[in-house]
Amino acid sequence: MSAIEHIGGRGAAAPARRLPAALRGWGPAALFLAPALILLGLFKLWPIAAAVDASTGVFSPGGVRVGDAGLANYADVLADERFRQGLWLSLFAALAKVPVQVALGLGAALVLQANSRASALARAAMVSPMFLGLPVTTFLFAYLFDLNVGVVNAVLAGMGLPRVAWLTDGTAAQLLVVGLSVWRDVGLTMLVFLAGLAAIPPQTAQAARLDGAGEWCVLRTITLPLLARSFQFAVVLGTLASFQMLAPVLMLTRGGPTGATDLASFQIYEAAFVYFDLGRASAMSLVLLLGLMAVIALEIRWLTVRWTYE
Amino acid sequence: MSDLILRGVSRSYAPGAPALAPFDLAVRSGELIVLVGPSGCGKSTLLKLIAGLEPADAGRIALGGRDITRAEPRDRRIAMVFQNYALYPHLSVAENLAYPLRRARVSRAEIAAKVSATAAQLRLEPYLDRRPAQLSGGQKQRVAMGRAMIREPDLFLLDEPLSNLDAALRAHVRAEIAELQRRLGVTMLYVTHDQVEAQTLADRVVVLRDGAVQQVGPPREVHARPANLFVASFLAVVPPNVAPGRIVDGTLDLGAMQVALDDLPDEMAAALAGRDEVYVAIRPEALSPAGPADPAVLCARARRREFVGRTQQVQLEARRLPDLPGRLERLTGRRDHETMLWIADDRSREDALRLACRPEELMLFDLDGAALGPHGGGLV
Amino acid sequence: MSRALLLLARAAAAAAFLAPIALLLSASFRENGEMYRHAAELGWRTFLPAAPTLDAYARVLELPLFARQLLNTVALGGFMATATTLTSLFAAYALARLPMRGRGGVFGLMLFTLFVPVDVVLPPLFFVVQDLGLIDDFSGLALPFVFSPIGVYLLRQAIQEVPRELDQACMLDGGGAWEVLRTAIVPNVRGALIACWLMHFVFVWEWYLWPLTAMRRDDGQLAQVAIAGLIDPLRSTDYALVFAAAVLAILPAFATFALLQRFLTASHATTGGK
Repeated sequence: MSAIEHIGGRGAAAPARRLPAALRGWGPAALFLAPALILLGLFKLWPIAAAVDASTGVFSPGGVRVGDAGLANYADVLADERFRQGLWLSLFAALAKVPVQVALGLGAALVLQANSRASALARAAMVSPMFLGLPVTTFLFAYLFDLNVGVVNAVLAGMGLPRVAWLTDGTAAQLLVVGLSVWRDVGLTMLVFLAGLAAIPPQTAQAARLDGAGEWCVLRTITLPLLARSFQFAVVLGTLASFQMLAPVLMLTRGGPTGATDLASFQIYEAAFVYFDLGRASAMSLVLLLGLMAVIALEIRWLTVRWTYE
Repeated sequence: MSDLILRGVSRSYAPGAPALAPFDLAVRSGELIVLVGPSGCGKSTLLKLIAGLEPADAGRIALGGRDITRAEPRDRRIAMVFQNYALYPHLSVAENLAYPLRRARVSRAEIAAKVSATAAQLRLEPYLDRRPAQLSGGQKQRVAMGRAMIREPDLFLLDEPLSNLDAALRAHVRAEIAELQRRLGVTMLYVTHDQVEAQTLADRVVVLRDGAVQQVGPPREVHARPANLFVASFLAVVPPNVAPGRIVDGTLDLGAMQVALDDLPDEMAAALAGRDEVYVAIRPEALSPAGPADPAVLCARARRREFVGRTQQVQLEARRLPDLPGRLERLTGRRDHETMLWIADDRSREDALRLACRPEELMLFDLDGAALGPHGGGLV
Repeated sequence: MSRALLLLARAAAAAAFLAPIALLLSASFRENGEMYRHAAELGWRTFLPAAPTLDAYARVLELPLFARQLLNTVALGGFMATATTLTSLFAAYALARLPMRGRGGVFGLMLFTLFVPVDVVLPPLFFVVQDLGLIDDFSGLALPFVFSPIGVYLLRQAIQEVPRELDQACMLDGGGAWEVLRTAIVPNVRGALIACWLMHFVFVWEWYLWPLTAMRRDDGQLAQVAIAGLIDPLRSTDYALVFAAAVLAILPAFATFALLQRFLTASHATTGGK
């Protein structure tokens, strides 16, 4: 009798206490997920909800909510020429950064995929900018491109070309911000493509070579199509990162010169932390977020892959 | 005409460790050659060298009269079916089949015609729009074959095509491949580690071990007259019994069996002249209950019986002469020589056995494993 | 592609990426005055200091708060890396192995939060943390980012590759969910755990925006913000000082990475293989 009871006791659920009915469908998973879900809810979902809520409010300069504005904030924000320009600039930044970064990352992965020591060193070199951190990188580029002391201008002058005032010329500033962002993130893009290349069975390329494909042909008809998922991943990551150009703008250009780098994310920062106009800032945030999701959804749709390896 | 001639083709990946020792072979147009051997014996390397996927260190390769030693894979007019099929995952079955034709810039109309003809031949019509990931192993294999066939190559290479199929399918596909080769009349080089495939499919079989050719010849001949102990052990349905033997006072003594040299055929006795020690192999199927006058009788005890259908495999305990430890394992590539086997019908039940084989059926080998006597047929 | 072209491409890649860093290093050894002196011409002095000096490094170490700020970053980095790895491990375990309804939905929700850029969530996050009274406090700095969807993704992937037979063996021995995690799963995802830890440790070293906003006490600040604080756009900038500070800041992170990165090769095999 006792032996059977003992066995029965072992087999049943170990905790004697029962989970509340609401969590019954989840079982022990609920316990393990709890920390992550609590943090997720508190610090990712609540802020979004709070932003939605704030966007319908009017705020005093002290940051206190004093009234309701309904959808007026949205109307204001969307009618604001400066914000529309800021959105357009953000999109433009993404369009400038992503293709360049993806092309360079892909090229690097193709050229550096060998197992040799030289390739490994070159790969490590390309990934090293990630260690510097965005502020340091920003400052480094500011130094390199400085009008008077910068290496770049010294080289230009040495070659007889005119010096470029990178930080005070609109287009040059844009190039600088996008350029440093690409410099920093290319390594990661390369890693994405390297992983994609590693997943291609070597025999597939061999079969293509036997079937009559030369090197370029194999690249065009086999390798690149099989990297489609990596493309998708790299493009989405790059798009997301292009919205992180806020730090360089904050440090270097503050939206200038003459609005050349007046990105939407910069305007949001200003509205929230300089002017404390929370209603407006929240509305802007949500508009930006929706725009971003739309762009990413388009990218995912455009680059969907319908085949698998196995 | 698609004769394949290999002369002195070799390859090594590290100095002093050849993956393939200098290799000669002449294959007649339309022949089906099977390269067989255990893993790592160099057979897949050889295929890659012939296909041009890896460069040979030395030697020359000629196909249909053209020297292709330095040619690019796509210029060799060779098709290969890889072990894992290597289908293009992003293309449909029809596009997979069409790929080689598109590289050759064949017209669309002709491509369509050839694709549907090949698909019909291989029963792939229902799957033309599917992607490889949606196919079963057998279907993938047919697509791989179709992609190879559609180019009408001079030479077909197959790298262990049946190893990824389940057992039930294997015999069936094996027959299909044989039929296909016969019908197309194409020269085919087939690599496998399964000696049953080798024996059933090949016009000629090439046995490889550690990068070196052991023997070349028609399967029946290689089976009947193996050039060395390895070939004898490898190319067998049930591994042969191998025992060390001593020649003393005109008698070949195996411990459990003694045979007078006078009772052996002349060539065999001559081959033993001047030797003290040999290895002797006896195929289990060659043993049968001894009569009173049989010259070569094995005395043994039955230790274990395993019944299969109407036959049984009897494990025998028999006296053995002492031998250098490890040598026999090294020469045959197999372990466990202590136990001998006899294939009997299911009626035999006695424990004390006297089994005889005809003296001609004894296979003699020297201490390096090389065949002695009439078995010294060997390399063609 | 011809061998020479490939070599050139490799060299160019390495150069393009190492050159700025090399220049950063060389600038940290300069004296500020001499930077302007040689700026007009193009000579070797453009790239290397004429009279290398450790002056900038000395000045960095004299800064009252810098050492403290580096220490903050190390401590916070260690804490966050550990907390994130643990949280992600638990969540990944639940998502990969434990039966529950809506598993896919929860995972999808987590990944969704990845798509929300920090810049967009920054203002409302600030106010949420302020409401919780955690601004200017390390916990306010750390907690919002302890949950990491990337960490969960990475560990879930790694756990999925552990054969279920191990779980089952443990369960037959009487183990509950916790024992299975401890004895069957954790020893087999060591590479991924270390990768996760390292990734999040390094992440703290790079952190700029959030500490800038949520930590207003200078003595509680982190490395990157501290370095950025040395940049004063109004007067002519003390480049050497900033670069020396940057180099000093990288060293601990780099050292930790170098020490632990040999555990990464195994995890690269699991994440890259399929």
